[in-house]
Amino acid sequence: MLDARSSLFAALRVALTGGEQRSALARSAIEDRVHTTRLSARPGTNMDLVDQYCNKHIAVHGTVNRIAGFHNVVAATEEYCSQQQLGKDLVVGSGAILDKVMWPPEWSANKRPANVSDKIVLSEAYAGISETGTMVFIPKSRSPASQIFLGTHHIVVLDSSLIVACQEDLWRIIRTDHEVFPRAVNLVTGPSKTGDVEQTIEYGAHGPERVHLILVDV
Amino acid sequence: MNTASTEFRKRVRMALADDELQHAMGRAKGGFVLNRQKAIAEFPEFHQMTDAARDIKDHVLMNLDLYLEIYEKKVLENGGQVHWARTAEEASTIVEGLCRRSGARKITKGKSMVSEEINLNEKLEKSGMQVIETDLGEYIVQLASEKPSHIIAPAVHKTRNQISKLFYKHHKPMGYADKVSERKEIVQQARSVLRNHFVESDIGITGANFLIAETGSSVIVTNEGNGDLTSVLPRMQIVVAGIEKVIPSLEDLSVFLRVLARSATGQEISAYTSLYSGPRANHADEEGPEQYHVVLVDNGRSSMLGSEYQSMLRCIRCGACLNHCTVYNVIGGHAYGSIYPGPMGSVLTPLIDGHENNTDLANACTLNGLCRTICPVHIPLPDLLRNHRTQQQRRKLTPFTGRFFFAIWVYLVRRPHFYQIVLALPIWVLNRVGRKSGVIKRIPLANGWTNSRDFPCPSAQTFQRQWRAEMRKFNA
Repeated sequence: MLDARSSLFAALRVALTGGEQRSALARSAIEDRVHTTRLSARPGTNMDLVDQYCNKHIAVHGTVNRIAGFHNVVAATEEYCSQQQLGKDLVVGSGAILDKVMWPPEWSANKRPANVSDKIVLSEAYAGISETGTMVFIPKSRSPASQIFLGTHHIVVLDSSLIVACQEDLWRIIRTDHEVFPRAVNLVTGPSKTGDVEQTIEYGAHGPERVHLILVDV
Repeated sequence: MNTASTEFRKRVRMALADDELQHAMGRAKGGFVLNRQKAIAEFPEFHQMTDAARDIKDHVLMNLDLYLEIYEKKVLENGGQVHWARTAEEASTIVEGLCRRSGARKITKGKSMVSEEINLNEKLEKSGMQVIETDLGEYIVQLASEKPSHIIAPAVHKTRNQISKLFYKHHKPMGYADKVSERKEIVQQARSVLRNHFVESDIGITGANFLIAETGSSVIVTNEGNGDLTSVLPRMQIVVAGIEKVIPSLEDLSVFLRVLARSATGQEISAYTSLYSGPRANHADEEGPEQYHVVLVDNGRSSMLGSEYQSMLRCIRCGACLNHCTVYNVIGGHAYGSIYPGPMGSVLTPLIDGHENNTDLANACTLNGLCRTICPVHIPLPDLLRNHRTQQQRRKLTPFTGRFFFAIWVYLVRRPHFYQIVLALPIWVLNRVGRKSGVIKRIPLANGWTNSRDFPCPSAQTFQRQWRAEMRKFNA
């Protein structure tokens, strides 16, 4: 008896080629299709990429603060935290901007993965997608996924020059930056939400209840 | 009449008489539809994008064997493992084996329709493992020992009051002494309960919205973030997906993402779209699962390939056809008695579960064609449902009375003059009865119709007779 894989492929070939094996030519045509970038219609816009990005982010219930230079990150974080009455105990991720930030002694800035009881997590996004106001994360050891999903308040630092127009631009950048496609790529658009109770949106289902963006013009 | 058919009618009658269900369905109705309309109005390229989505799916389906091979090779390169299952039973056995051999006790699950299709939870629970659904809607139906009633909004049939009672019953023993009844409180309590499960879980099981051949990634789309906590935190990640989920490249993914969320909930994009591509070791990562498994399920799909039902394999499970279906919106998902309800379910279920047990599904349809119009991958759902009806009629699977009256009708329409004579009298009678109010409230022997809606009063003469009279006037 054939194993499941062989008999499944046999069934597929019966349906598709009348049972014939595929030619080398057919095979390489499909290989080419997989590895050739084909662009289809993309949403157009007349707006400035960063302006559109901020508008879209706000439309999905996010908040934004645009600042100049990494040295203003602490002040921007403080502004948000005191507005929300959150205190000064936070988990901090890593990245080109965050690694340069010096936290004054009154802050308890912990560089570790987040856990279920962490209130504030500050992390740095890999890129932004203007099309939808999306923040892109590529979690790695020093910027783990727990930092994206477990905090109640997720404060995200993003270099404004890393905002791309659309998803296709993001895929191109990831391919250039990574020889091997990353283990995880997370596209995050606004806070976590659910409509499962009476089809009405509530924020903070499992992930963050609020997402605050600190956009840095480096 | 066969049992399945009797059961279906019984469930429909119960659904129509269920006040809580009617309340919940009445509340939900229209919201999804309106949001979708708004989202599409703001995106002029939508229709171009749906054409592209259809073409990609058609191309992949014509080359499915090749795409699956490329995808498999890539997953293996990434350090993951691929398992193949011909049937639902084979699939659930593979997953159960993986869980059992790794000594798992607690398993968290993201929302997955294919896992419902293969009855995965029962299988795992029978082996003594604790399975926790983490999508809020799925969690609610799991507490209620029910199945999802909608493919993207599993608990759409539940009222807030019902959820509140369920939570009180199940969470009280865990120390949540107060009964929560506000939406916010309900969501907060679920968040609090499920957080601990996420951290304690040994294995996370999710479905996949897409599988990318180029990168060997599985893609999940959620709004809650539960799928991600399920994928990332446990030591083993298992992805269960139908073989038709594979797409060529990242650029193709973008096409689908642009139509999926808009069609499903009217969002431009869901809150979380995540691509996972293997275990941590291969990426020198200190986090992520130690093992990454993909279980690819056929369960009737390969036999749809090359058949008149092939287009059904394009389905991306957005749920738009359910939201727009006049029948679904009244009877709810459970009445269908199948895992997949609504138009897509009525096409798919007989193909994976056999016609014999599902004769009424194709007939629970008005053929108004709305589902075809809104389908983001242009599946001709009404045509496929009509195909099902034809097959059932040929195989004499439908109830005798239905076939009997249908035969009489066919006899009549093939003889127009006789048809005129036979119908003239009942039309005249109905017209006399209803011409004052314009509607008829009761027709003897047809209260199946008149109990829930009025019958419009026909005009005194048949259309053909009126047409002839008009033409005579015109020619004169």
